[in-house]
Amino acid sequence: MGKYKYRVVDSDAHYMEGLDQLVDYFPEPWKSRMIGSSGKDKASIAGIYPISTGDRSVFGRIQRDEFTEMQRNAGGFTPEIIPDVMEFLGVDAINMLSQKMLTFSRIKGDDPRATLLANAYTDYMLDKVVNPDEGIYTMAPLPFQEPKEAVELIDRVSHEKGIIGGCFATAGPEPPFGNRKYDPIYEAAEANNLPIVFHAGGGGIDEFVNAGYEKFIETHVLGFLMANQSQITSLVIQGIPEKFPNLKIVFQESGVFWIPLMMHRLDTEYLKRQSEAPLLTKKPSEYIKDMYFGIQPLEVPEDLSYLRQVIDMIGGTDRLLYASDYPHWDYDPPSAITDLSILSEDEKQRVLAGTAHEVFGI
Amino acid sequence: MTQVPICDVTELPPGERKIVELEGKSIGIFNIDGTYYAASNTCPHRGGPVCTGRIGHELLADFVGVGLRVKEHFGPNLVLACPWHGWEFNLETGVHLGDSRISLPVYEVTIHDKTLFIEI
Repeated sequence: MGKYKYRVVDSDAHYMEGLDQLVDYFPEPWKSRMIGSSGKDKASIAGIYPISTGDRSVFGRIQRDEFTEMQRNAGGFTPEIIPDVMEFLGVDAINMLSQKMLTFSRIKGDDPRATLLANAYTDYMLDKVVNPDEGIYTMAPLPFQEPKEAVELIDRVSHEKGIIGGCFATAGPEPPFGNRKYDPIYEAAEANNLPIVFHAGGGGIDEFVNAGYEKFIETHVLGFLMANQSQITSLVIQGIPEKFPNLKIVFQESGVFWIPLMMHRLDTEYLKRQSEAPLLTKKPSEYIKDMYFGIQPLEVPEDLSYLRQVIDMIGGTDRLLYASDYPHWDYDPPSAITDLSILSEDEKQRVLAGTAHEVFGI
Repeated sequence: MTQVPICDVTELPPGERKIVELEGKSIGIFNIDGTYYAASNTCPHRGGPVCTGRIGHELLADFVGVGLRVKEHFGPNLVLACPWHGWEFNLETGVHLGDSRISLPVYEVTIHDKTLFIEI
């Protein structure tokens, strides 16, 4: 036990891998290209794809002094930083997500880099970072552009104790994730008892900027939400939970208020257009109530009874996973849950660690 | 329950339907290939004239294999679609295709001496 009297499992923190850490895990000629673009010590993300626009820190208003100090002590975002992050957050176990995966959607062409990054990240993490004995886990980023290669990655690493899921970035896959193109990925994940985490990311929000939205608050509020909304709609209406009934499905990083919105909106239209979703044997909301959701960034209304109602509408705290998103700008510490007067002690423990145990086995 | 006479059977040939008012209720009676059905003409959704809607077969789909296009086909059940918003009901049972907790009242149709009766 750390700083809380509860056991706490963080289901979504981020490993801020630099390409300098991954470069040795890339095959040639990509390794040389990356080093050639800016030198091995400074292997630049520009060598892979452009970064998202927008100033996360609100031009210096949001600061991570403690994170700067952690990086100084660890020599950057290195594996050595993770115990400090866990101590700072007060978590007993942590699921580190790939930073580079979040913008996979920027790769549109017949391009191997999503697959290369996914394999390099996974191999690096297994080699240098994950340590189940210390509660440090990660997920295999899944290159949705290349389902066959995603399946190969799942089959290759699912047996590893440190790999607790496969992760999709929800921004930008075309076609969306309910398409049969992705069936083999779901089949492999189900067969390997590997949860699939659908995680909103910044890859698509550049398109909002390009469309003329001016502030990061606009692109972030819309982009992270709409990415998850579009994918959950596709998954449910195309019947992925019917095709793969034992597949564990998790959505992360859009808060929780969007979930009942989608449940009720989908149900309302399903009653009018049921013939367009012929694989379904129950209402869309019933499938959503079998899924799991990371809480971050948790919306906390002035009247907490509204939040309580949202939690009840989606099936209770059994659906919710504590997730920090640290060190990103809008992270939630465990106190986002421990401070909630609307939850019982058992419900707090369920969100903080119980659901993670059920989903990820950690 | 009372048996209410509707019409002579010859007045409702196969493929035809009739909307009648019985005890203040609007009711639709259908002759589908010689089998008779009757249902409330008031959709439980928004009160639309459901019995004036399209009758077809339930659309079903089979998951025929990983990565393959789902195979869509029509099943044996007849369904009635409300023209207002598309709510679809099993014509025989009245149950909504998307939510079994919703149903349209249906009535038994009988024939006595070449006269159609509805039990309401």
